[in-house]
Amino acid sequence: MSTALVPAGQAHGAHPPGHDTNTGISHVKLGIWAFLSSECLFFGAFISTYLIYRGRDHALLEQEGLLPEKIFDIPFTSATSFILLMSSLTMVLALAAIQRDDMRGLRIWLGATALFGLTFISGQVYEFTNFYREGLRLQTGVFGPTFFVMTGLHGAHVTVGIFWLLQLYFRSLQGKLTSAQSEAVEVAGLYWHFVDIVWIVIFTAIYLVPYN
Amino acid sequence: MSDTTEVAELEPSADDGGGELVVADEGTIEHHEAHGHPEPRQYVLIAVVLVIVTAVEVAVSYISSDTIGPNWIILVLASMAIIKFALVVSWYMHLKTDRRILRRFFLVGLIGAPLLYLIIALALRALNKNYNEPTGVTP
Repeated sequence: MSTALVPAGQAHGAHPPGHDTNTGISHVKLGIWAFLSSECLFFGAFISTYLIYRGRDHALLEQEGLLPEKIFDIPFTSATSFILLMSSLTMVLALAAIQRDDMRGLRIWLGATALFGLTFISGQVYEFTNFYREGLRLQTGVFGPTFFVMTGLHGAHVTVGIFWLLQLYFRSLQGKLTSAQSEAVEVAGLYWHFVDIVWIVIFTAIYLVPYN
Repeated sequence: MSDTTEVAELEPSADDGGGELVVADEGTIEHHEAHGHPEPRQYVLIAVVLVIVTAVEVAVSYISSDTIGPNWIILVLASMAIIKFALVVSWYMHLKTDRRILRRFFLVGLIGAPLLYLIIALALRALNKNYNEPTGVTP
């Protein structure tokens, strides 16, 4: 293999100077990708559990009037899914803004992303409350625990993402976030997009695919 | 004879004015050339595609399984979810243009998750003879 001795920071010129690296990729970026890879397994375990047990308690849910197709409000969940999908667009526009040193644009798009995330979470709280009123509990059959744990953990991830975005927003307001630190926005964006792709899978597997 | 190419330019260190060298292989250098993020216009176009696919996905979910069969519905829905997933990962997470090593990092988890599903499913079926029987029905 041909190797070259080149200056640190120049050999891997895609990341700005000041970003720690001894691999050519900033440690932070490599770290977030390793984390996201582990998160695939984390959510994979919950989605797998749901799919494996899907439909096995159909008779129980039918008896109690809690069949998913009866209690799910697909138009409502589609609307919140659409909002989360659009938050991925605003997130990537925030990154594009900081990369061209447009700090006002950055704040607008970061704020929009956080707002969309908050709307999604509000929708989830509303949905959970409705399901609870209908009689669906954490201990209802196998659907109850698999549904609440999986979507609840996803909601917790979205909530962490909202705090992360708000932290970036306020750092930018204080002038502590500049275009030289665009990687901070990129890393937060990677997390946010990951949360979005997990929802793409959950939305299809739980809400759209027929339960039985 | 060694095939090593040495490019000995030094980068000044912040503290002592010295220099630091790192060893980079050809693959690493190659990745830098392909590290350009798309334009905002392209991001918006991807969003439009995502919205259209989602709308079709929701519409398909309303088709009665008696019409085309539940397996076809699942296949169509899964295909559209994969398209959306791939679009977000490739364009918004920049895996299309970013370094190959990051793609590999992510693929480990992405392949590992379905593999985990397969192992659990096979293990459950092998261990539990009553696996397919319904559970939780109260008399």
